[in-house]
Amino acid sequence: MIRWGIYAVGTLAAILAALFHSPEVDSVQDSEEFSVWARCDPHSQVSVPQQIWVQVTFGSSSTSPTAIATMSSFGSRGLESRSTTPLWGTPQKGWVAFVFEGPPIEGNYYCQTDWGNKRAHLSYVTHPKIKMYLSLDGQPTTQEMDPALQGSRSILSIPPTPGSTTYQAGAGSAAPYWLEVAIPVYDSPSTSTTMYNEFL
Amino acid sequence: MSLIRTISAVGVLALLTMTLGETDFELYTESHAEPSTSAMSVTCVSPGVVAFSPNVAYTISIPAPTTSAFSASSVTATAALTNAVNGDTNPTVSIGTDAGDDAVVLYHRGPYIKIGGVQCSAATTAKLDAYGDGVDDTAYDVSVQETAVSTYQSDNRADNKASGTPLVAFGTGGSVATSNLSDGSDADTYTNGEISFGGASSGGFRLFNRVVYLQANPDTRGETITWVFTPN
Repeated sequence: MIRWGIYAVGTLAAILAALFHSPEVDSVQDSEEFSVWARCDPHSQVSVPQQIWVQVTFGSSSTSPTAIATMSSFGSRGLESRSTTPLWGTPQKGWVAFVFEGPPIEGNYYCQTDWGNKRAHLSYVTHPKIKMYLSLDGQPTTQEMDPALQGSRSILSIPPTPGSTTYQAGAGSAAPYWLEVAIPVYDSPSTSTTMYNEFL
Repeated sequence: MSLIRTISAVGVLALLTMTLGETDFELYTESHAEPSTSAMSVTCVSPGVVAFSPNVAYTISIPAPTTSAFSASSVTATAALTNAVNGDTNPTVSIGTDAGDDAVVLYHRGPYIKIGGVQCSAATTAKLDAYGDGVDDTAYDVSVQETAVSTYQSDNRADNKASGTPLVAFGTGGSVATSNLSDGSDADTYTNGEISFGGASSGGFRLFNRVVYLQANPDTRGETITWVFTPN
C-alpha cells in the first residue's frame, strides 16, 4: 500500500509540475531548440575537352620519312600538343604512334569529407584502327588504356589543389600525363572513337 | 506506474531527439562524378608521292696495255654517289665479262632508290620502270639485272628505252625476278610508308654499265635514267 501511495503522489506531482511550470523555464527550453544546421550534399563537376583531334601529316626526305602529329583539344578544357617523333612499328608492324602531352582535365568537389588524392580513370572505346595508351612519364609505353569504363590499369592519381576544391590533371598541373595514340600507316584518312574521363 | 514509465520514456526520447538535431551528423559516402566523354578523332593527311634516286659517277682507269692483248682485268673503276638515299654509301664496282672485244662492263649493287609518301592509303607495294632520255649514247649502256647475275644482258637495257615502252625493272615480267615489293619487306625493313629498292638484300638489283673503250683521253660519257614508281 505504501508503495502505491508513493507512486500516486509522484504521479500527481509530475502532473502538477506539467500544468503549473514556470514560463521562464519554457523560454530556456525553446531557445535550445533553435539550432541552425546546413545540409551540404557532396557533389562534383568535371570539365574535360569535348573533342580531341589528332592530325598526322607525313612527309618524305632522302634519308627517312617524316611525320608531324598535332593533338588539339577543344571545349571547356583545351590544349595543343605536337609530336615530331613517330614511333614506327608501334605497337606492331604497320602502325605508327605518337606521344602527346595530355589535355587538361579538372574536377571540382564540393562538401566532400575526404580531401586526399583523387583518382581519374581514363578509358576509351576500343577501335580496330586506333590504339590509346596512358603514359605517366612522357615516355612511350605499352600500357594500353582500359576499354570504356572497365578495368583499373589506366588511372591517374591527382593531388588536391591547396585551398581549393579543384583537382587538376594534365599539362601544367601537379598530375601531368601523356596520351600515346597509334594508328595504322596504311588506312583511310579519318577514324574516331570516344575517350572517357571518370573521376573516382 | 506505467504512466510514470511512459512519461520518463518520452522525456528521454525528446532529449535524444534534441541532441541529434543540434549535433547534425549525417553520414554521406564520397561522391563520384559521372563519366565525361571526349570525342576522339584522328585524321591522316595523305602526302604527295615523292621518289628519290641518287646520281652515280664512275671513274674508270684503263692502263696502257703492256702487251698486244688487252686484259679487262686490268681495268679499275670506282663509283661515287651524290644525293644518296637512306644514307647509302658508295658501292664497290666489279668488272664483268661478256662485254665484247671493244668494251668493258662495270657492275655493282643497285644504289638505294625509293618512293615515299604512300602513307594514309591502301598502297603498300610498287612496281618500278626505267627508261632513258631519248638520246642514246652508243658507247655507254646501262642495264638493270638480278643480283645473282654477273654477265651483262643487253635485253635489260634501260638507257635506250622510251617513256612509253620502259624497262620493267620490278614487277610482272620485269628484268628482276622480284615481283612488286611490299613495304616492310623492302630494303629499309620498316613499314613506314616508303618503298625502297636497291642494296643487296630484299628489293636488291644490280646496275650494269657497258662502256665502249673510249677514244679520247680523258673522255666523259653519261646517260640519264628515269625511274618510274607506281604504287599499287
